[in-house]
Order: sequence, then C-alpha cells, then structure tokens
Amino acid sequence: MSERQLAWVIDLNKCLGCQACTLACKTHWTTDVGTEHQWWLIVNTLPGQGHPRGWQEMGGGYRDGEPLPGRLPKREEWGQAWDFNYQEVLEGGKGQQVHLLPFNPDGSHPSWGPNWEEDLGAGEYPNAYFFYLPHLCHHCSRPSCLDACPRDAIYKRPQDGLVLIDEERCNGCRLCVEACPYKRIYFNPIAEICQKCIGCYPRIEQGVAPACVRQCPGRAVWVGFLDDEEGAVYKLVRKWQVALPLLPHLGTQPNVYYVPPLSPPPIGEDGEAQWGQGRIPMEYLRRLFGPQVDQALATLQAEREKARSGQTSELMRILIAYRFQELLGPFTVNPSQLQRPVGQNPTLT
Amino acid sequence: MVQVRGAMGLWAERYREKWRWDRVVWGSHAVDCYPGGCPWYVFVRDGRVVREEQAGTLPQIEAGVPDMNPMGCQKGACWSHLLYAPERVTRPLKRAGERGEGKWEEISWDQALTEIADHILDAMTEQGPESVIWLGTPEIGAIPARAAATYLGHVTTDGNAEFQDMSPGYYLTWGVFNPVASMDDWFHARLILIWHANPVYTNIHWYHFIAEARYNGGEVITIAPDYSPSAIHADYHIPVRIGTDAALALAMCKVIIDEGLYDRRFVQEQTDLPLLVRRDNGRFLRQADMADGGREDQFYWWDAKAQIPVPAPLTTLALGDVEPALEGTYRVRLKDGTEVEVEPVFQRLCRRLEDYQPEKAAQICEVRPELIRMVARKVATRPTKIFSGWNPGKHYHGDLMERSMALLLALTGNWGKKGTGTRSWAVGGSTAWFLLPLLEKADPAEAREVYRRLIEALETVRSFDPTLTREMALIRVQQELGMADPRTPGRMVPPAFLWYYHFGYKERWNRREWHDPSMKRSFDEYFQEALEKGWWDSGWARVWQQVEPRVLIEAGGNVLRRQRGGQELLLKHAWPKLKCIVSIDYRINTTGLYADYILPAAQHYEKVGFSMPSIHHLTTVLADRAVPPLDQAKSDWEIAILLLEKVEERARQRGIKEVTNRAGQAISLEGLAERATLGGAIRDEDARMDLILRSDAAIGILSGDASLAKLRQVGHMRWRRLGLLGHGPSQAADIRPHETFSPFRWHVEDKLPYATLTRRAQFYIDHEWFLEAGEELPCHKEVPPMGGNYPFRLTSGHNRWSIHSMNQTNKIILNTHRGEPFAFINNRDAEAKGIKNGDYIRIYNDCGSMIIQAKVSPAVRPGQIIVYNGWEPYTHRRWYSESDLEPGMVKWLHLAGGYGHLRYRLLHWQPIPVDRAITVDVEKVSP
Amino acid sequence: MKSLTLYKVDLPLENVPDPQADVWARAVEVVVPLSATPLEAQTSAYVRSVWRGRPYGLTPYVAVRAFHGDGWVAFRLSWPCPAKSDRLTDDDAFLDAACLLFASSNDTPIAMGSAERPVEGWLWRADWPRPRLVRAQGPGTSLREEVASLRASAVWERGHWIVSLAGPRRAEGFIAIAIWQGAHQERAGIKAYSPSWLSLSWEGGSE
Repeated sequence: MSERQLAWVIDLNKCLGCQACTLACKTHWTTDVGTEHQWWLIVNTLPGQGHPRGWQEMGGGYRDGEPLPGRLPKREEWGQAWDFNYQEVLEGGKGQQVHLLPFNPDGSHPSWGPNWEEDLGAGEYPNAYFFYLPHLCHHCSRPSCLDACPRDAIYKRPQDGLVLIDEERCNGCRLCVEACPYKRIYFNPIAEICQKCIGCYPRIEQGVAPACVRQCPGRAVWVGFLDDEEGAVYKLVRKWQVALPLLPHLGTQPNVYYVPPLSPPPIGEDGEAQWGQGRIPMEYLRRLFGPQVDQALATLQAEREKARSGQTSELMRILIAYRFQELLGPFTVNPSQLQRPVGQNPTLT
Repeated sequence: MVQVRGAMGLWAERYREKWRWDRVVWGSHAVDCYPGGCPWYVFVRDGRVVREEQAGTLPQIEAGVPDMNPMGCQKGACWSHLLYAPERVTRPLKRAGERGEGKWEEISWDQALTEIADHILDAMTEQGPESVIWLGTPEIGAIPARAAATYLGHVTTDGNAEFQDMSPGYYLTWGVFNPVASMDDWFHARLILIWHANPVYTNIHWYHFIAEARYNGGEVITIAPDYSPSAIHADYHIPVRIGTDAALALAMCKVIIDEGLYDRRFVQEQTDLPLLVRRDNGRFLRQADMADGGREDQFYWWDAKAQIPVPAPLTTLALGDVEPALEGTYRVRLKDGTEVEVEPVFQRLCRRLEDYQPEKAAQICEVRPELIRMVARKVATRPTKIFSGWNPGKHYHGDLMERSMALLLALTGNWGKKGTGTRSWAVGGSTAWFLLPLLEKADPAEAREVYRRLIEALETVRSFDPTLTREMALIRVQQELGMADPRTPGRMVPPAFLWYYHFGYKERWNRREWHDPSMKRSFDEYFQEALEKGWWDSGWARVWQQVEPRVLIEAGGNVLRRQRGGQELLLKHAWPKLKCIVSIDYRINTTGLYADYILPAAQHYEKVGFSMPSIHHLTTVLADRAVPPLDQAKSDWEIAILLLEKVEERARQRGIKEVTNRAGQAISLEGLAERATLGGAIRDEDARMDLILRSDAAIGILSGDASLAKLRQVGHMRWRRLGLLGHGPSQAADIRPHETFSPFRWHVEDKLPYATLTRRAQFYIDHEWFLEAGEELPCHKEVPPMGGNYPFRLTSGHNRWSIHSMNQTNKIILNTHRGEPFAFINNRDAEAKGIKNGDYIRIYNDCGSMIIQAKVSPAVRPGQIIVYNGWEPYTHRRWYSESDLEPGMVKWLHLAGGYGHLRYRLLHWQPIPVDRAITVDVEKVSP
Repeated sequence: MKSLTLYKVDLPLENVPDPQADVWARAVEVVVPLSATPLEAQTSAYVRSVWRGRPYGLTPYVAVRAFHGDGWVAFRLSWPCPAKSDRLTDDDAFLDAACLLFASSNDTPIAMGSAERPVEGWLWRADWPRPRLVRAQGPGTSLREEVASLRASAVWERGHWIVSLAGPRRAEGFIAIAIWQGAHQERAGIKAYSPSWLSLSWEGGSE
C-alpha cells in the first residue's frame, strides 16, 4: 500500500462524452509509433460493449482474494488505429470514384473501434437510455496487474499511489493485461511493452493536474488525495458517498470513482411519466457500481431537492465547482508558468 | 508544488521529456464555432506546434456563478493535428484535370495570382464587379481575405443565408433573431428547456452551466423527437413528433392563459398582444385609419380605465396610466366616419389557442396532455430559458415554431432578466474590425472619429423621426446602405436571388407539392411580386437578372458541403457559368477539389487574429501566430493584399482604370493595396491586429491599454461595451462588469421599444401575405413532404466531432467514432427493413440518394433517420451526401418585405433554404 | 548429471548457424527432458493462481548438440512444437522461443540464477533475426541486450523447431534450457525448462 492515494472522481451527470479528455490524453502520451491504437482514457457509451469489445466479460480481478483468469483481447476487439486514403482522394486524380475511408493497418475495413457504439444505448423507444463512462486506469489500491507481473515491472508509487509500469523492466508478457479486470492496459507491438495511463505524473510532479482533469470542459472530473478531508474527492467519496468505484466486486479497490447517472423517468404504457424513478434499470447500475448505487442516487436527489427549495447543500456546491481550480485538488499550477525547455534533462542521452 | 520522493528510473524520464516545450503561445481557433473564443495555450517545440491545452484563465464574472473554465473541446484539443495533416495544402495548386478530379499542378504564387487577377478583371469588365462573388462564410480567421472584395466592389453573399443559420420566427417577433445571454447566465435558470438543440454535441465548452444549473436547483427538460444525447442529463424527455413543436408550445400557452398563470403586466407592456386589431380586415388599427396624415406605424390600445382607444406610445413601453385591455371587443370610429369593431390581439390569440387545447394538441404532437400542463405550469412559475439552436429555423415552418416558443416566454415574462430567454449566436465587440475599410490612416484616434461620425449619423436619422431608438436608427441606416458605397462595413447581399437565377433553385422552389398547401399562389408569383414591389432592392435582388456570376471565391468555407440543395445542384447549374473558382484555405476540402485554384492559407496557429467575438463570453480572445506558415502558405490578410496588388498590376498592364457597378458607382483599380493597408501601415498582420485592438480601446470597447502587446501578455480581454456594429445593438442591454449578461434589459428594465413594426414583441403580423396564409398569429402547420411521398423523415444537426466540415477529416478524431459517415435509425424500423447495425443503407427521395453506414439505436424515434451534418462530401460514396437529398426549399413568406422590420439588412431577414424533416425512404444495400 | 560433449571443428563462425548443415550430424546429441516451470516458482501471483490446473510447459524434451571452433561455440536445439508461432500476429499472440542459460557452477539456481550467482544466456525468438543476450539475477529479473556477435538460424519442419545458436566461446561449464511454445500462450515463467544443469565437455582444445 502506498502512503497516500490519488483518486479521480468523475461525475457522470456532467460528462458529455465529448472525448476532450480522450484527446488531451492522446496528444500528451500516445502519438508515437506503436501507441496509435492506445487510448489510455476513452469515453464509451453505456450500455455497450466498450473498448476493448466486451471487456467486462474478459475476466481478471479477484474473487474472494483469489485472482480470476482473464483473457487477452485481440486487436480487432480493441479496434485498431485507422489510416485513411487522403492521398488517393485529394490528389489521386480519381474524382468521385473514390472516397475517404478508414483502413486497418492490414488494409481491411474496420469492424470495431474504441468508441464504436457511440450513442447507441439500450431499451426501447421512447424509453431508450444511455450514458457516458470515461474509462482510464483505476490506479487500484490492490492492483491485479501488479500481482500478475512476473518481473516486478509494475509498482505503486508510495507518494501518490499511482500504478506505473516500468517500461525498462517490462518484457511485454501481457499477464497484466489479462489480470486487469478493466482492460485498461495496452500492448505496444513495436516496443513489445505494456503501456497504460501514467496518471500524468510528469504534470503532477510539477503541480499541474492530469490532462483529463484540467482539460475536461464538462468540469466533470476531480482529482485529489483520498485522505485530504478538506478536498472534494474525499468529500464526494467518503463523506457524501455519492462517488462509487466501478465494478467494486472485482476486488482491486479502484481509485477512479463515479457519481452514478441520474436519468429521466421512463414513460409508461399509458404514456405518462413514471416519476420518482430513472429509466436506467437499477439492476444495471448495481451491476456496475455495486449496491451502494441506490443510496448514492437517493442522496443526489435529496440534495437536489434541497437546492430546489432554496436551502444550501454542501454536496451541490462541490458538484457545481464554482471555481475551475476546485476540480484540480492540490494541482493548481498553470502549465504556462513552467519553464520546461527541451533537452535539459541530463539523465537522458 | 507537490513534493515527489524517489526516482523511478530511466523509463520514467521519457514521459517527463515528452512534456516539454520551448515556448507557450496564446492560441485560439478562429473558426465558425459558436460561441468559440476558447483561450488556449499552444506549445511549440523545435519549431513545431506539438500540443495545445485550454488556458483556464477566464475570470469568474459574478459571485456565486461558476466561471467559464476550462473553455474548449476535443476538437480544440487536437487542432494542431490539422497543421501537419495530409489534407493540409501549403503550395498554390492549379487544376490539372477536370473539376473535381483531384489532379493538380503546383504553381508559383505569382502565376496563381496573375491568372486569378485576369479572371477577375475579365469578369469585372465583361459582366461587372458583381459577377465576382465571395461567399460570406464566417470562418473568422479567413475573413481578412475578403478585404479584397471590399476594395474591388465585388459581391459578398450574406453569411446568415450562406450558412443557413437564422431564426426567422424570433426575427418576426423581436426584430432581431439573436438575443444572446452570456454562457454563465444559464446557471441562473430554474428551468431549462433544451428544445431544438443538442448542446451535448454543439456546446461542449459551456454545457457545464446547464449541468451546474441543475445542481443549483434548476430543472432540465429536453424536447426532441429522439432521446438525444442532450436528453440523457435531463429531468424529463418529451418525445415530440417531428415538426410539431409549435403545437406543443401553443398548447402550453393555452394552459398558461386558461389557468391565469400569465404575466399580465409583461404581456401588456412588452408585447403587441394588447394592440387593437380591426375585425373587418384583420389589420392593426393604425393612426392612418383614424386621421388624415396619421402614421402607418402608430397603433392603439384600449384603455380599460378610460374606455377609449389610446395610442400605444412609440417611444416607450411604459404603460403610464393606461390599463391596456387584453380582452373585449370595442367600436372605434375611423377617419371616414365609419365604425369598426376592434379587439386586442390577445383576444384573437385566445381564439386561435382553442385549437391547441392540450387534448387536441396531443393528437398533433403526441405528447400527453397532462405532461403539457405540467411543463406549462413550470414555465409559468420560474425563470425559464429555452435552449433552442438553429434547428427550428431549418424547418420549413420553423418560424411558426419559434414564434410559438417566443410566445410561451412572453406569456411567462421570461426574457430580459437573469436566467431567462433563448439562445442564439451573435458577434459583437471588436467594432474596429468592421471599421477598418472606413479609415484613411492607421490611427486609433481616427477610428474613434469614424465611430463618432457614425453615431452622429444615427442622431441625424433620429432628428428626422425622434421616435426612433438608436437601434432603430442604426437598422434604418443598414437597410438603406445596401446599394451604397461598397466599402460599407460588412456589406453583403442576400444570396437567395443569385441562387434562384443561377444556382438552379428556381425549379426547386417552384415544386408546388413540396410547399405547404396553405401557399395560395405559385412560388414564382410571390417571388415576382416581391421583386416588383422592390422589397429586396436593397439586397441587389434584381441585379442577378442581368449579371451572370463569373468568379467564385470561397475563403475558409466549403459551399459544396454546406449548401442545402446539394453539391449536385450547384455543379450542374452554377459551376458551368463560373470561369474561375478559387478556394483559399489551409486544407483541401470538397469545394477545393472542385476549384480551379487553391491558395494555401495559414492555419490558425500560423497567423494573428482573434476567435469569434461572441456575446456569449464578451471577450476578445487572441489567436496568435505560434509558428510561421508552413512552406508557402500565407495569412489570409497577406493573400488579400497580394491579390489586390496583382489586380492593380494587371489592370495597369491591360489599361483598365476603373469599372462601374450596377449602382453606377465607379470602382477605381488604382491604389487598391495602398488603401487597404492604409498606406502600407497595416500591411503587416501584427500591425493590423494592433490597430484593431487600439481602435477598440479608443472606441471604448476594450480597456484603454488594449494593444497587441498587451493581449499577448494576457491572452484575452473582456469587453466594456458591445459597440454599435455586429450584433451588439441586437442585445438591447449593457455589459455589467460583475454580472452575467442578459439581453433585452433595455426593453424590460428601461422600457425602450423593440425594433419591430409595432415596437413591441410582435406576435401578430398583419402583412397581407401572412394574413393570406393564416399565419398572422403563431399556429402549427405540418411539415410539407419535401422530397416526395416517403415514410421517413430525415433530421440533422451539428455533429460532435467537427466545426462544420473542419476536423471532420482529422484523423485523430475520426478514430474516436466510426471514421466514416453514418445514419441513425430506430431499431424497430431497422428490423423491419432487414438492416443491422453497421450495414450500409441507401437513403433516397425524389431529390437524390446516398449510401451510408447505419447505426441502429432505440434512441431514434420510429420513422426518423438522423444524419448529423458536417461530413465532407468526399467522405461519402460518390460524394453524395444528405445535402443532395435536401431540396433546399424556402418558405414563400420569407420573401415578404415592405413591412416594418420585414426588410433586408445585413445578416437578418431574408429567404433561407431549409433542410430538416425532409421525406426519405431507406433500404439495405450490399456492402 | 548429463554431459554434453562439444567437438572442435575447423569452420569459420559465419558458416555455423545453418541447423541443417551436415556438420551437425557429427555432433553428439543429448536429449534433455523438460518439465513445466513449477507454479510455486512462478513470480506472478496471477500465474500461480490462474494457471493451476492449466497445462503449460508442454515441450517434453529438447535435443541438444554443440560444436565449438576458433573462439566460438554453437548449439543446435531441436524440440517438438506442433503449432508454429513465429509472428506477432495479434495482441494475444506469443512467440516460440528458447533460452540457453550458462552457469559456472551447478549449484547456481537454475531459475535464472540469483543475486549472488548472476547468469547469462542466449535467448532465441522465432521472429528475431538474431538471438539476444540475457542477464539475470533470479526469476523475473532478466534483461535483454542485442549484441552483434550472436547469430542464429532456425527451421520449423514436421512439427519441430531446429535452431542453431552461435556466439563467442563461453567460459561457463554448465547450461540449462527453456522452451516456450507461443501457440500455447507460453511466455515469461510459463514455459518448459530443464530441471537440472547440463555440464559441457569441451573436446579438442578447451581454452
């Protein structure tokens, strides 16, 4: 266990599925050869099979403290980095005979991608339902990836609990990918190593919040130390208990917490609204967020009711986040104020 | 700073090394994005832009209201990828094959400019300067290119028609189409109706205010046929039948009136509902009816206290001692001695609303009566905003929808106060930007002087009619300026008439069966009547009877993607007439592919400018040059100047000194660049930008210390006032430094009249055509079968991943969805048609046909097909997109003029093609 | 303890690697039985738990021959491998591989040595043009290094790999061998190995 633990809280009632976090993450870390297919953070529409396709059925994690077998997703299940025939269309001299199309690296047409089921949802009209789930490494307190690594290449930083893969030690054996119940670790086939969210530690170390937090236009993501009793993360997770871990029964003690989604009431057979309930089936939410989800949603509704009747609510105040900086925990440094010239690192040659 | 113990080894250094840079530059995306204006940091490393990140530096404006940070979206977060993308163009290209074939020859700038200049001169001398057409697209970074049009007397098409964003119903009601609250004002709303909008896709950077308003005690109700992405965070979703929103709104109005929930004072004061209408002819009672020499625009109330007709004041909305009756039938004596019965509009409205009793309306809009009542009661009892986008205006009867929605707000007193109103797009601030062509020298003091003269001119207009507000005087000036000096700021012409004569729309618009059955005469009869009455003369409507377009220049836009009616229509009708088509852009888009020349422009990180100066944030946001233009690309401003110089040079060589336009004005071809650059003083784009900023400071828009150097320090500056140009005056409100911005305060607080015929929010339009159509009051009419008799309705909207077509081919973003166009279809419909998720389907109607991937979802309303727009045609098979299925109909009533505010002026009232809810069918095709 | 005799041949190193060269017929073959690396020796808790009851280390034996020459040594390994895996075709694909580990004494822990007794080895993988040098100080500690002096050549036929590896003459007297069958997802500690050291007997010019 680490001395302190960083945690993320993501309010699914504020998330727009816009992928700004996804792109912020991507442009920071995964643009090199071998990482094009990696989306250390991706926002998926739920219900859905997600990324990789059907990851919830791929095993990993623990039951009664014992590791559960996992299986490795295939590239097609992940979705591959597509390229496009720009050249052919824009200057190929073929006119309308050709049009811009995505291609897998082997030239085939994509059948899956990181966000293939965007806005599809479930249910039946008019009671369709869906919501967005940003998904990154959970930096678990009991990381099954760490347990799985035969080479001690994965470790948990004592100072902040980030789970990191030492890319020098990693041999790309992918046992961690198997063991991660969230399938948030990628294989880099060029470097033959496993890679995943690094918690933006280079930013954290400079006091700058992770890109997915600082660049979320929905102001839906908080970061902070779980033991900071004055912090929003502590209050949402521990005090108000409205932020819940994903698939807690898998036993890895994840540190990304979600404020579960409220949803409009369904419309009954008679065409009338069925007030007092959401249209997302509670069974489904319990499967994702555990039995606490009922209480969390009830708390949210009760506090909203308080706000509606003009009373103050600490919970609502936190979720509103009047100042952008409230989302950033202790990492409020503005990156433009840093001097980070290239080539000033003596340890790299 | 957080202390971190322990080194992590060499590998960890690699990630630290990735997050390094040499320079950080303020950047923004000077594109057609509303509100846009997101301040970004652009990180430069080894001379390349490597990344960008929202600055997050906007101040909190009002205590107790969240700030606007970190304003930005996913597109902005990878904008730098467009800099070095495969669709980037960095050298002048000349077509080497057929148009659209995609065969290019790289040529020098000199050759490109010489050939284009010759085409321009040929057109100007043979057909007149009007035959050179610059499309008025709103990419703000490309607008400097159109400076060339200003000095050459060319025609620029009206942006609002060009990009087909207009709210005709709001315009009919308020005389402006775009009152805009600041983004943070949404936090004050207690009820937000997301209606005809999908902000989860289209307002990513400020949707949080809606989510936060919910936590602040507000409620959100989304009204949409589909369970849209903006419905998922609502407290209720109303699955309205497509195109029946007017019925829904009117039913709510009915409930509010029946239950006595309406804001009587607001209605009496702010609206025309108490004005008297003659029962004999359905026209307002006018002073001209009552007395010889009486005004046509003086209307009457019935004073319930004195029991006499009283002139409703022209100069104020204040009721004074009068108690205007809302009900009752009264007799008044006309000037010829006859007596007529009159009644307030309100009473007529109540009769009309009998058709929208909730049980009846439910039959139309398929929303349960109890629900209609519930929402109506909510609207009537709390600050309510309607988050309406451009969607209603893209419906054939969108004006009726918007008028009904505005009526709902009027009855409940929901505008001119915090947390109320509607939503739109409006540019303001940066007045100096518009004034540049009027300056003689590069001196902010002169800008202030020109601005002062403009105000003086308004006062002169007001001296002729002291009842005019300054806003009305400004509108008068704008309306009169159409034919005048080509240097008039932002002069544009409504393109509908160009399209009618030359782009192939005449036949389309005369398809009687695609119009509403209440259109009594043929489209052409209305069209000819409008022209003969001179209603559109200020918009150069008749010029196109004589002038054939010869040169088309698209700077930063993509007409073949954009045009409702489809690229095929344009390629068939307009393209053969055009001797020269030029695309000025930093990328090759579909219009570029069909152009004769592509001039490579600098991308937004390679030039100096500002992003959309939007009322939403009231801030001038710097879009600075982080790196020099790649290869041979040039800034739009430089391209404009080079083109002017080349035209000048070729004109001299060809012995052409001047040409005359259709207004009889001589356009000199000498000293063009000299004038545009104010004697060379602003040839440099930094100098131009600095002059704009200093002039805005001199005018009082920005604080006195504004300059480019200052802006480079702070990145963005909040406005102090809105200024008189752009849409500033449409807001009818002042900026308060420490409060959210709400438009229409001059009306609601200061009782200043509206710029409508009746000088009140006008729900009764007694224009003869409107009376003939039965649309003098809002009502519901079914969407006509535009496209033929087919069972499905195709709807659309802006997508999540692009600003129109920009970014739609950004590889990194394409990888976050399906990487190609798709259509949403309901799962039951799909099943009935044998269509599975991911199958290819053909969508077709009498207009055209396209093939597209299907996404099957229960969130789609049965009978609905959704194709979000913005896809480059060249991402579609055979390049046929949904635009090719859209007939691009215009509603005949939008040709109406000669009536109060129903007159053309820049970016306002004009016919605009619609595209929503056209009829289509679908079938599965083999891949 | 089995012993492997290495004869000296008069060949330049460049000619050595072909595993089907006639010269190998003159070398003595030793068949080394292999067994799966035991679960308790696995450094991954996940493997210890999840691979319990799941067969792995499926290669029953490896046949070893060796030569040495002027400053070099060459080994030929052959083992049954019914399903070849020599390309990283997918994220769940693993590669056939073999490791030849050298030790100076036979009390060196056979599972990749220890901190006190570090080991080196030659790691061959079916998709690599040349083997890599590995250094280890115990299970899960190996580090790989590309060295130009190592070479290999391999053929797969009739369900067997035949691989020759050659490099600079080694001073160590003992070798151990591990085999991974990629088709069975064998990688890391999931492998077959020789449970005891094989001593090397240098003939005709031990240096």
